[in-house]
Amino acid sequence: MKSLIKILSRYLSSAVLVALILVILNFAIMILWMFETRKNTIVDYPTEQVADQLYFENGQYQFSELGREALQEKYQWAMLISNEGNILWGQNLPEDVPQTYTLSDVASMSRWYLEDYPVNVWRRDDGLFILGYPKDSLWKMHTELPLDGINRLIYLIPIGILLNIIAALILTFIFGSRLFKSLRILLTGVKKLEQNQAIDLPTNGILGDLAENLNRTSATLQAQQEALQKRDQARSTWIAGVSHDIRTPLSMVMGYASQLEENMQLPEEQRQRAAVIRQQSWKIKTLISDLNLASKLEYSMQALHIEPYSPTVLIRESVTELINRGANKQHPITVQIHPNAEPCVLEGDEKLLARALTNLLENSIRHNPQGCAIHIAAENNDTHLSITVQDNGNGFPDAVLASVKLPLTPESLDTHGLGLLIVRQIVAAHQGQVSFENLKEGGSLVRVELPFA
Amino acid sequence: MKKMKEIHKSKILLVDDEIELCHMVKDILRGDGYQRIFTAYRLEQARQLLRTENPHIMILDVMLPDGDGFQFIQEVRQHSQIPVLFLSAKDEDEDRLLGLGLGADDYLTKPFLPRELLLRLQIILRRTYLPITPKEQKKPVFFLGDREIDLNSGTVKSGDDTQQFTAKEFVLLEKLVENQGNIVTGDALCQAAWGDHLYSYENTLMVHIRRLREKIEAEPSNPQHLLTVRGLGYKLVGKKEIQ
Repeated sequence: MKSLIKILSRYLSSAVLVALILVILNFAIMILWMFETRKNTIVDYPTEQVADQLYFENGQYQFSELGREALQEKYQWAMLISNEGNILWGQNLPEDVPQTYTLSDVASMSRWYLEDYPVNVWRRDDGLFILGYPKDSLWKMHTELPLDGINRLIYLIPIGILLNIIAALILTFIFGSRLFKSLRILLTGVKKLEQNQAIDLPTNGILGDLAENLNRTSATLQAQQEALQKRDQARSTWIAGVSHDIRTPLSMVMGYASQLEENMQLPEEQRQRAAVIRQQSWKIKTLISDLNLASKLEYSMQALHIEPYSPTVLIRESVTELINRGANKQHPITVQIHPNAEPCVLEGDEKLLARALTNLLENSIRHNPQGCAIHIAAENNDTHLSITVQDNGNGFPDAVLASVKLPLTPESLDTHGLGLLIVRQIVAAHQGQVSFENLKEGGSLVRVELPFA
Repeated sequence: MKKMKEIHKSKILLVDDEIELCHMVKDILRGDGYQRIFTAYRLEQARQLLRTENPHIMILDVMLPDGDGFQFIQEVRQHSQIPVLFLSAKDEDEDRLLGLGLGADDYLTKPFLPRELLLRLQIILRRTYLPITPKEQKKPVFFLGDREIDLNSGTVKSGDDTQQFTAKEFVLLEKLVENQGNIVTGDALCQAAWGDHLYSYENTLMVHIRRLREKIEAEPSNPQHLLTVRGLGYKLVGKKEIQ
């Protein structure tokens, strides 16, 4: 919706700007044109100049060459009327021009026309000099404005511009509303596309074509997603199938190895070797169930059993279970739970989270055969519960540290160390964050942050 | 149900389509002393053997060529209470729960340790066919250092002095004895004694543990048997059985 308002305001402001520019442009062109026309009419033979060309000499009016030229080029005829209203002198006088003039005639022609001839009038000492244009060659208009009106013009211009802007706004809004309706439909469509939902927009309206395109895009995306899902499912099912099929032959390897191991008739050395076969077979079993779990988590095929649980109880139980399974003097585990974490109750799959925690502890133990101290702490950080697993051992190898920093994608299944990958997947499935680092003083630190719902 | 003098005389029906695996399981069972083992590679054969041989227990695979074990156990349960132990390569929680929910006595996933199979088999057979003797119902009597503890009477004897445990002390001690040598979390102890979280009972638990120590430890401030595991819980060690 926010972006639609943005589009709307942009649209309106640009429309107003267009209107404003048009008004200014028109105004400017008009002024320029008027100025140009005026310049043309003024430069060539102004009335006073032509009037000066007539002089009285030797008891006779003389008209200079320039005056004749002006009559030729611009005007048609000229005359001089005495203050009494009689023609004193005339040049190219048309037939229909009267011989005498009353005061009212003069007043009329000085503003308008003389017998339909547009005329210019110039006052001389000896009378009135009149320059005549050909008929129908000039439009004369006399303007008359009250002075305060002209003063008010200074205020009226901005108000006019403002009114224009408002008019432009209203007009564009009215014309644009249909466009915005279509735009809003498109916008909701695009949002749905973003969330990977199927869309079916109405294809009528101004932007019908665009809506149709979006509908087609949605169909393509849906088809692609379905194909991807199918492929993921096939991959996960395949891994599940393979791990299932490995179990029966592995049973036999383990079974017979166990039998050999317990067969007292065999020499000790042989029985030891059988024990190694059995132990390694068990490792393969663990690996394939890890692989299976990782692939299921990856393709979201692992059903989560979400229930309220106490994370601190979970921590104590996981650690206790690990210690009870085989107390190890070389890997002492200490637990420190901040009192503010005790009352926390989160929602999640307790079994998977316990698995994640156990994986972290086992990882520390497995990669520090020389022994190391492991410390687990938990604390309530207002928005989330923070669990840290720290040891003072070798730290993560660089390659492992690099691989756990990569984003979780289907390719992460390639990374070595399924244990840590499963930790990341389980934490991600609970909308949590997990970070891995090596400590300067040696050892590693894993921080798991689980958000409160 | 008939009673048996000896578990190894049980007739065992093994149903699995993997011939090699059947051979091995047979080997394992024979090695432990079982004599009467029948194998079926298909449900059809299993049906027939169930009728003719009347076995005491059935070890059943889930995926078989002519049907699945889950359906088969439902079919069998309509006319027989024969104990069934699933031995399957399906290791999902859902499968295990389904199998147990359908009335199986146990569910073991492949690959398995032969010893585990034998132990689970023995437990089912004993539970089903050997009547429980009253002797086994007795609660343990044992020594912690020089003190004799009798969980039947809930008492501790030190020389001539006999003390009684309170109800809560007894519950805590029993829980620790059950898991002796292992850590029991404070959460589990509170759950056992008060049915509630450690969060609300931490101090109460500490008080009860101290009183318990006063009764069973020679030096309560320096316990040798009821040890604190910091941050986790408690552990009972050094329990000696009475000969």
